Amino acid sequence: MKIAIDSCSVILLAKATVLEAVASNYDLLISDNVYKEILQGKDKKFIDALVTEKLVKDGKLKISKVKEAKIIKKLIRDFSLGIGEAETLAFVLGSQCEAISTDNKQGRKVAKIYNLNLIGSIDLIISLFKLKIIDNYKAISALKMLKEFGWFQDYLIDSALEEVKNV
Amino acid sequence: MYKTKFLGLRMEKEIYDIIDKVTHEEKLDKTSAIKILIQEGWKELRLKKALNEYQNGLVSVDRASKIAGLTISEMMKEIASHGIKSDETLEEYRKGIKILQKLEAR
Repeated sequence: MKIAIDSCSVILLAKATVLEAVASNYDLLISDNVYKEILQGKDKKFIDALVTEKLVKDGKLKISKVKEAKIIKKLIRDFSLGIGEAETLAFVLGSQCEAISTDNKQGRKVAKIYNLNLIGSIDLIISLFKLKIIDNYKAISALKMLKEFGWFQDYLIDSALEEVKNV
Repeated sequence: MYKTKFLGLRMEKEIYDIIDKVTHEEKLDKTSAIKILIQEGWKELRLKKALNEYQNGLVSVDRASKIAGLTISEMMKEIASHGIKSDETLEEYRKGIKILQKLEAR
């Protein structure tokens, strides 16, 4: 199963220190522009940029080009998306991937409009836990890091934490 | 091509007093103080515009980061620190888990 993943999800998973586990377990695809966007943080030594670069070098995170250029232009024009987000959506719209992982408000909106298989960082962490790729300590720590970062509504992280604690 | 350009300004006393205060506090001449205030103000304006457009669903994070002149990681930090939350719902989260399970089962 190929999952197209955008900068937002990559950065959040890296901050939660589970990006490598996710990339080792799922076939993740990023576009060349998403890679460029994330690597902007390399000069500032951002952990997300450094981890992403390592995973690409190790072949765990694959970079690919979008085949359907027309879709990208349409998405940028119709939804004011950046090139990286548009390319990530185009991977799924052009059938290069089966699902999209995005935690970007605008990206999720477009994915819902097109009825794409939409997932997010929290889903990926919980799935890793359910598949026993990470234990409950790691899952709890990752979710707490996301909570501290403040990207998601607290109740959403709390629900995921409950799910992990109840197993 | 000019390296610098001259600009004469007339302003309210309150604004002049701000420049005066920065001049004294930062031990700068007035021209340098005005340059710093304009640059800092410009950064704030761009960030405010980027946050506003992102919050209202008008642009994506990557587009917002370009407006603000920040990296995506920095833009995400600004979005989070300004209390703008993802609008992902519990229902969407549960649906996401089901999608992953369904795709894994194939």
